[in-house]
Amino acid sequence: MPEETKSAMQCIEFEALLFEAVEGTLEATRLNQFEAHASVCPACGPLFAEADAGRRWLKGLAEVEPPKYLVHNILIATSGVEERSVKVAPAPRTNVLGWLRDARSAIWASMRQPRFGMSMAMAFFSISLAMNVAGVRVSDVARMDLRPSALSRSYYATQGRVVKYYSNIRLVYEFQSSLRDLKRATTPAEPGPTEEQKRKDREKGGDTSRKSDQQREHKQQNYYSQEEPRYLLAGCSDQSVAGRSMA
Amino acid sequence: MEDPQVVNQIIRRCLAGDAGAWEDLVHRYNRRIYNICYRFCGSADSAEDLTQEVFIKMYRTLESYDVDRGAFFTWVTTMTRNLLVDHFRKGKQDRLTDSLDKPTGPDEDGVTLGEQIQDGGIRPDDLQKTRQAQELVQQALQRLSPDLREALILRDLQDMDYREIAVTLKVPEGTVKSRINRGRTELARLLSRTYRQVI
Repeated sequence: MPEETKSAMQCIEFEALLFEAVEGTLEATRLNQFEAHASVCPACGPLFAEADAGRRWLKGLAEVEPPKYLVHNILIATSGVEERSVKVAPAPRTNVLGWLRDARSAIWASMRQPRFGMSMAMAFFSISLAMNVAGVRVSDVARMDLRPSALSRSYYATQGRVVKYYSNIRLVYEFQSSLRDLKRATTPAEPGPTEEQKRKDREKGGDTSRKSDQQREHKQQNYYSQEEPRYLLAGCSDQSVAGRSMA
Repeated sequence: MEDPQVVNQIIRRCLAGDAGAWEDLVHRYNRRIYNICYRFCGSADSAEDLTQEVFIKMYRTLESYDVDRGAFFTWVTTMTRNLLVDHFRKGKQDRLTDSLDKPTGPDEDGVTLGEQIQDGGIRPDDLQKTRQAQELVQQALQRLSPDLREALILRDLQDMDYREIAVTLKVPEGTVKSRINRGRTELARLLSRTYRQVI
């Protein structure tokens, strides 16, 4: 690189003034020297042209538009306060038709949202699945008897089936049983009858108790007749039993 | 340019807890910060995330801003630049060496930006007005080193004074001028090396 030219400006000086020259802030005298050097120096001339071209390219870049909801997102992420509405307040409705038109357009706008379509699809899928599991068929609906008496009958029939099914579940049965046991165990014992009550009961039930004693003796006789050795042992006195065991 | 008195008043109201003042501040600076981020990282999604990060950091550290130490925008730009550098280091972004040869359409064998320019014989003046030209320059900008790129963005896109850039980048003014010169030259060379008749 030629360091010195006939224009009396060195390349290093040229480079130092390059920024001002490209920006257009170089004073007239220096600019003449600068341009003279650029015209004769094979290295510095293209350097100026390139720097100037680079600047022009960058100046041609347009400002990028930020996303629509950037400010809103920033405010939510920082202060947590929603953006102040900049929309003009709508004029009061003068007629019902205008209000209906606006409502219809608002509903239609929300229906055109993809998430609305997704929600509808999910709802349809869920209802179809539930009906399938429950055994409901669309073709059966047409043949349904919708008279009030038929509806009432089917309601009670369904209720009965449900109660029966519930009661027959083993787990429910066991739970109810253990609950009953627990209740019995925790309930305090009833107080015994007083003397007067006993006396009345004796007077009332004297005959019945006698009858029951006779029945009990009869049963015992029958039982002993079936098992002879026991009868013999039961008839022996304590001493004879003791003497036999000694022998 | 911003009026320092107005901005300082807004900042005082922000520090006093005025949510409306904070919203004014966000409205005032979101576009510029977004543009710096977008031109530096070249991605709209990243630029959006980074802009949000800048404002979150600004919201937390607003009380540390000292009016006597410089303009508010310089303070904000320094913060943005630091976040961008952090983002660059974390992502270890490389220069996009193949971006100029990327097809413009969905078809992989489609015509590249450079081919479109060459075949059509578009002049630079016309080219600057087209969307393709914007993309072309943006892609060339991405190929510069971060030091040169940030200096160019602040000077040629944000119109910051080189003294303010020196404060923002924490480098001497001579270094700023040198980086701007080198950046412009390298950008022009990148564009002209492949497509000579464009420039």
